[in-house]
Amino acid sequence: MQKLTLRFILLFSKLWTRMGIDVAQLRLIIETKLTIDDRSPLTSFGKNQDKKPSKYSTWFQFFIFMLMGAIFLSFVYTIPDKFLATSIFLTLILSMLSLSLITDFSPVLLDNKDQYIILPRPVNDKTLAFSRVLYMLIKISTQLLALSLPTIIYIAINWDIVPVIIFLIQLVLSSLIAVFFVNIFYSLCLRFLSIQKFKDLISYIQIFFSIFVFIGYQIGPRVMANVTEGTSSVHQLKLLWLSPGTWIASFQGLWLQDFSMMTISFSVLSILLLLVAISGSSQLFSKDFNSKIARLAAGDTPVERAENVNVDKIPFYKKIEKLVTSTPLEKAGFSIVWLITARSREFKMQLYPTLAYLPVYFLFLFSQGKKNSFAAKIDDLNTSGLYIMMFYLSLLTVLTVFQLVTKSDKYKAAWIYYAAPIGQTGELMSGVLKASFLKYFLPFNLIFLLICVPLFGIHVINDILLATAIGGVECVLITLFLVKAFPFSQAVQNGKSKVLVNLIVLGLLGLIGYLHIMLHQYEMAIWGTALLMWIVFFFLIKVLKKENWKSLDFETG
Amino acid sequence: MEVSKPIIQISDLRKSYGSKQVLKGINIDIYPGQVIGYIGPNGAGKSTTVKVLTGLINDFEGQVLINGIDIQLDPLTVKSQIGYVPENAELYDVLTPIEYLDFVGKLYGMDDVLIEQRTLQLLKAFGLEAQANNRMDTFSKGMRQKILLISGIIHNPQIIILDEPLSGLDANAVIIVKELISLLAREGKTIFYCSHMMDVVEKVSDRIMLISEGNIIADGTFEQLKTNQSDSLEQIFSKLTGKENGNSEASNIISAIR
Repeated sequence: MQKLTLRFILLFSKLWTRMGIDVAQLRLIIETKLTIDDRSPLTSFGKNQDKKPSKYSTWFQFFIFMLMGAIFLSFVYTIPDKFLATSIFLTLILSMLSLSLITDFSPVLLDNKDQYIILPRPVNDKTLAFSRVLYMLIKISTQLLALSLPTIIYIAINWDIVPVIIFLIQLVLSSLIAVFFVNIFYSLCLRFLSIQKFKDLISYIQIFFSIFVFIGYQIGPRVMANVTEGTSSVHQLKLLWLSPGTWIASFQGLWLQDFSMMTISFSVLSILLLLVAISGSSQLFSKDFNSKIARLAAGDTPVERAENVNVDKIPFYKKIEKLVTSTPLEKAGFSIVWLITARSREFKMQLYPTLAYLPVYFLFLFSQGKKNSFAAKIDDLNTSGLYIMMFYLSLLTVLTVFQLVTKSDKYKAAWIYYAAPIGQTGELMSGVLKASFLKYFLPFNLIFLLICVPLFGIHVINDILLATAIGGVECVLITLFLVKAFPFSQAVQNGKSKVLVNLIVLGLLGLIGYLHIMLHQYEMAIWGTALLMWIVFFFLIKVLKKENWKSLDFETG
Repeated sequence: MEVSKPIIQISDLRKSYGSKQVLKGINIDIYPGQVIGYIGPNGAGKSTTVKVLTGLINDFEGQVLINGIDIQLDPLTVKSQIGYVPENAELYDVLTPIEYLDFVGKLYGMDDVLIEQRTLQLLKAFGLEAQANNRMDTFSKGMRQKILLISGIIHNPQIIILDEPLSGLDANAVIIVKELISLLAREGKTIFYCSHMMDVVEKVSDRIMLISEGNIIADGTFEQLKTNQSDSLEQIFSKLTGKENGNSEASNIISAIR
């Protein structure tokens, strides 16, 4: 598919040559990059990162995007007004394309290997710059096709020929404009942000992206129901006026004999946008861009920051560390987990989406049920005890944290564990456990406490105490039986699938949660069990400290 | 050389990976305060020896005594007496030097106060005090290497094992490290120095060992090795490892691109 697009682009070789581009080199560079892509592991969805690099990853991605495209189709299918339908569709397409251009392609686009491999060779700047833009276009064209294929098939059957042709042209315009948007984004970022901030920003956008997709799946259908039931034209949906997707879609309005001021000005706007896009794109990724990317690669110019004034001040984590840990080894485990989890981009990228699901589920819980008034819903949840499920959902996070905490792209730095005299691995791991528990589990339960006590009454305290203790016991058991590796000591790709184990753990937790709900009206029983579980929790930590496993994972060489 | 008990005693050390024997019966006695230059071609068994000495590999034949302690029986005590700087080692570079060294120090069981005191002094000595609270992901290779060197000596080990410690260091830092090695030796520390840089080995070591195909084929001071051989260590090396025809290899390369 991508090679096909490339061949299409190469049809205009003469034009490219006249622009001063070496077509043979251009082709070579793009083909090589596409081959590299085919062999790299998937990155667009965090959960797929455990999979081994696959030759078919492009096809798998194509399939996933097509599934998304099928969801987009539902808008076109349910909304009779073609102008509105195309507006929503193109807005979705534009945002998808822009987001994935920013998040998925930025590592490739900003790949500083170009600096070492291509730039020293006799390749001119224009060829290199153009290869970048074309590469983006090729990548985006595949995605565009995947996203819009279901809709194209649908409208080819159901619409007249002219709207279909207009629609296809609109799609091409959208992809050009998406590339343009991303170009603006990159140049602005590179101009105003430090390289480190820029990289951080990209990973935050990635986190936002996965949350966006998740929430989209949760609330998308409802929003759609509202749109189709209520208003039914672009004229009423003023928010859509801001979207370039709507501007491009206005051609459909023109064909429908809608010659209102709005439709005409939108059409003019979209043409203007396109002109700016084309002239802008040819100037971007110029020498300036290359030199900025070169700075990305530069590790030899450390940023001289103003010396920290309060060096003597004890950092917050050290205070907690002092409170909860005793031996140096335990402190080492505690501090490394506390510090690296706060800074490692890959850790945050994989964990934060799962954290974001929590509040979403929380809202979901309240929006369930047939009763309409909020008070009635609260009452319902209170008597059924379903709110308790919330506390157990946060245990999912613990499971994720413990799976991520052994993984790192800096796993080779773990040689230090093997060189250092670590007598009791359990002692180190108990520090790891305490940090994860205090940082990623307890705060949630505190928040739940703050929310639930006013909502449901004081009697939730023992429920939360019990759930927290069970969470603690879960942490220790996971550390004892599932986490047999030092923190940040394993390559991300090498992860073996633990789906089955996870399902068993989740099933068990669900069962315990269910039992808890059954019991929740017997307050004294809950208090008693809570106390018992806390004792078990502290006892298990003692057991963990005495644990000493030999890690066989040291990779020689 | 002072006559004392050897601090490292390796006797008949053998190690195989599958059917391939990498170390074929090595015997070495090393005395406190010696600077050992350990050289050999790629794949000769250098890094395997280092991994045995640092306790990273424990399934070998023969006996290795460090300070009289059998490394196979009590690797932990041995590890706590050794400072190790691996070749091209990675570190958790999202941490700051202070945080990383605190972490390493604690792995060696040191307490907070001692770690803090030594960290600050060592960072200052290596000229990194201004960067003490900056994350290491912005550091150059040389700066990282300095941090690794510090992490290798922070617990005041008896034996220091350095694998290509000069890689990435600039000329000034190289001088510091060379000076450091001789000062450490004067303090009675034993240095085990692995490198391909013959000119440096020649200068810093007071005893040179050459390993080839799993055997020690030369052992002595540079002067001793020189008296019956030619003059530079590089030439001794290529003679002993059977690569004297380096000239013809180079000319083959030239004729290939001509």
